[in-house]
Amino acid sequence: MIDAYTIGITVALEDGVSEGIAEIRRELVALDAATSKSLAQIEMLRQVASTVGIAQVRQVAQPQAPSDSVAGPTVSPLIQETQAAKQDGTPRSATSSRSEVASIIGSGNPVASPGRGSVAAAPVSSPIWIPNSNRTANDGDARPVDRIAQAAVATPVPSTPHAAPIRVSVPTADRTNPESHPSAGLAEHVRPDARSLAPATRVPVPAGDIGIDGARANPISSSARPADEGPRRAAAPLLPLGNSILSDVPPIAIHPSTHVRMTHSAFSPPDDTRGQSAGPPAAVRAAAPVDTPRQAAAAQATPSAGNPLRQRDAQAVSAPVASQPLHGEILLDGVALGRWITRYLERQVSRPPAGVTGVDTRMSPSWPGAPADN
Amino acid sequence: MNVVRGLQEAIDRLDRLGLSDAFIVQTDAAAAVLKQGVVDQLSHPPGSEHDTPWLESGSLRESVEYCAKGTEAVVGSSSDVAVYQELGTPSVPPRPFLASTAAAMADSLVTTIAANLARWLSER
Repeated sequence: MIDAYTIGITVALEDGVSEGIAEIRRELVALDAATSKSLAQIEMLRQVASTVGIAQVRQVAQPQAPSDSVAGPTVSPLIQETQAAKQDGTPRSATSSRSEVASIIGSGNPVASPGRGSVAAAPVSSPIWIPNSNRTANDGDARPVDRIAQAAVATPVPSTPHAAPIRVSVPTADRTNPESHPSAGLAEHVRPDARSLAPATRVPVPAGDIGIDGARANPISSSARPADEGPRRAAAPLLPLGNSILSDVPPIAIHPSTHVRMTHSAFSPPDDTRGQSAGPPAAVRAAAPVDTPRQAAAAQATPSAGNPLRQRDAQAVSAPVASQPLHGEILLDGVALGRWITRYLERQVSRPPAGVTGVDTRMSPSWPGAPADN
Repeated sequence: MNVVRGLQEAIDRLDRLGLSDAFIVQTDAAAAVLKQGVVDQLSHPPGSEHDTPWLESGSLRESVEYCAKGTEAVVGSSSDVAVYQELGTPSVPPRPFLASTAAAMADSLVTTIAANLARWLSER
């Protein structure tokens, strides 16, 4: 085609659009396949969910044993309300949840108080609410009143009659002061079976084995801790309440790792060697770390002002490096050496000339034949 | 669910696009536009700027043609005068009318082709 003309210009279009459209087509095909697969799975999941929901409602709606002390409907108020909400199409309000929980809390006696609203006449047989199975020592004892939100994670399981709902809360207030807990006055309303569950989850932790960061401290340092640290341990602050242990465990004191053994080099270079014949300088000696807890205790027991003899003894104890050998250093003062060389050259130059003019460069201290004296 | 129902339809419509035909059409149109630009360059009367050949007999302007095939098109002339005017001779200085027109119209040609392709795709 170029040869069609003697001279001409060529216009050529690079088809990048087709490649892009082909890429879009491939992605659409992949999306279509993924969507089809997801739709099939969603449909299957919907069928399973509908089946399970019907079966659960039927299971819950089964008639209860006739041994119940109160006759009435066998379905829990929660389920009743849920079913009513499903029929009405309205979600379950928080107020109703609160009233439900309030009625549960106040159901220490089988007959509910009349001031509990519509659920006051709730039957005794209600689904047991099993709290989270991963309950740790942080959950604390059973204080069910102020932890309505915690009950949201509970799993309703239809169980035997006379089962009471249990609410488990996470303690946040100061445990050392039980009066400060907002639910302290409500502990008497907790049902006995709920109280019996709480100690089962308590984890006894040996006191004194927990460090400041919650991890177990060094067993050597903790076991070698002298007995005279009793007051310090008692005066140490408690662990944060978020990590505290239950109330039957003795208070755990925080022992900062002050007994970290600092490696003290006997050959630490002094800051100034002149005038120091033996031993490290005063600054080094004063900053020498305490090696043992006993020495630390002795240093703390020694008053800073007072008996000078005891101060000297404590200083001697805290500076055990004095009896150890030290390496010496030779200090070569360059300024003094330069002045000496200058004086030497001056003396040599000031001598009467002996056949040469000017300064003989060989007259230097390093010249082998140079005289050592004047 | 209705959103993803049209995926297959979109794929089918992409298959029915026929981009090759669109490119041929656009190439032909671009060559025609370029040829018209070259003709305009050869339409300067004598006495005007002589950077391009003057219009005297019109034979050179009549010899300009274009040929498009696929995504390629050529705008040129088979006249020897076109070669002399475009490249010059030992006695005649070059007065290019093809290369200068192509350089001047390149951007507008690309924009026109892209707009036409986009319009064509949107109509599908």
